[in-house]
Amino acid sequence: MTHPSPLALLELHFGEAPAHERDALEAHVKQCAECATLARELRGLEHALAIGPDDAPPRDGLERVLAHVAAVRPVRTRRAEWLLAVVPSAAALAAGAWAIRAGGERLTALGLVPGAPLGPISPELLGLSLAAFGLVVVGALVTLALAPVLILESHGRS
Amino acid sequence: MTTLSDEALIERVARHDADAFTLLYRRYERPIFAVLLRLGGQRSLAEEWLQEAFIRVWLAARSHDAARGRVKPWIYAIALNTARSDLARKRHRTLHVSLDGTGIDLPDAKGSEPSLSARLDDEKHAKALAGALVELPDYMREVVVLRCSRELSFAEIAEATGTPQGTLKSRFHRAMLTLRTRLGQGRGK
Repeated sequence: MTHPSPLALLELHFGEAPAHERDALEAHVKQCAECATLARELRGLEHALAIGPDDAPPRDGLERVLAHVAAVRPVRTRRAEWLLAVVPSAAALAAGAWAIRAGGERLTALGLVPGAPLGPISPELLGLSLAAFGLVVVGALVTLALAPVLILESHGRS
Repeated sequence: MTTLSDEALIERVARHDADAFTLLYRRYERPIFAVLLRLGGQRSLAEEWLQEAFIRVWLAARSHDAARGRVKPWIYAIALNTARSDLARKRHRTLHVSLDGTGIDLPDAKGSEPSLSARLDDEKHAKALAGALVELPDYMREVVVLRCSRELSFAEIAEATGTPQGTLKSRFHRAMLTLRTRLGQGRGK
């Protein structure tokens, strides 16, 4: 009797045999004790390795993965925090400069303040100085606001 | 979103969509965990690998190229590589054999109740088989475990491992012959 190759029997067992060969292979296995043994061994092996009810993955697996993933992301988060600090500071700087300049011009126009109200200091220089001071104050406030977050984050990573 | 294909999900995961990642995780955690359990032999090890593998999936999602292969073999490849590199480090070669803890599914859970003697035969056979599997080289055990999980075809295993299908089938067959010899020796003792 001519036996099919063992690889063909493997394909038959796992349902991967070509359709035109399947019937002939099945018929052979039915009448050949040797090939039937291989088929039985394959079933036994598969049965022994079958997924059982005790193979359940850990219940908190997803949570653990997501927690790790969140720890990997802070590079993006920190960038966002910097933007959070810089944007309001820049806005405060611009608004302060505009307010001081406009206010100075208005006071001069109304004649309430003579041409050079503060001696050698021009309104522009005064505006810039006050704006820089404002920026420092805003920066300090933002740092104070973010400090607990940064401390907690570094604590969580260590 | 549950009906989305793996490919659509991985695209969303690449954009750090946690919901898509959750779906993908739920879709694959059980079969991949079962494979890792049989490759590693210890539940704690398989849990560690599963976690590491899915972290890698999250991080590498952007690099997945749909033109070069499907998501399923890609995820299995990540899980296999995680296990391989860790095994290479630890030289850990015990196989999960506990019948009541994890792994081997006895037939009483499936329909008709078999006789006690049949169950004992099954248990003995499963133990002997698991013992013989431990002795197989990793490359043989890998293909046996992956194909017997019924989750991947030989073509998909070839995609995941980068090994030609013919080679995989030959390895499987050689593994069968090795197991037959070892189990035969065991009976003879």
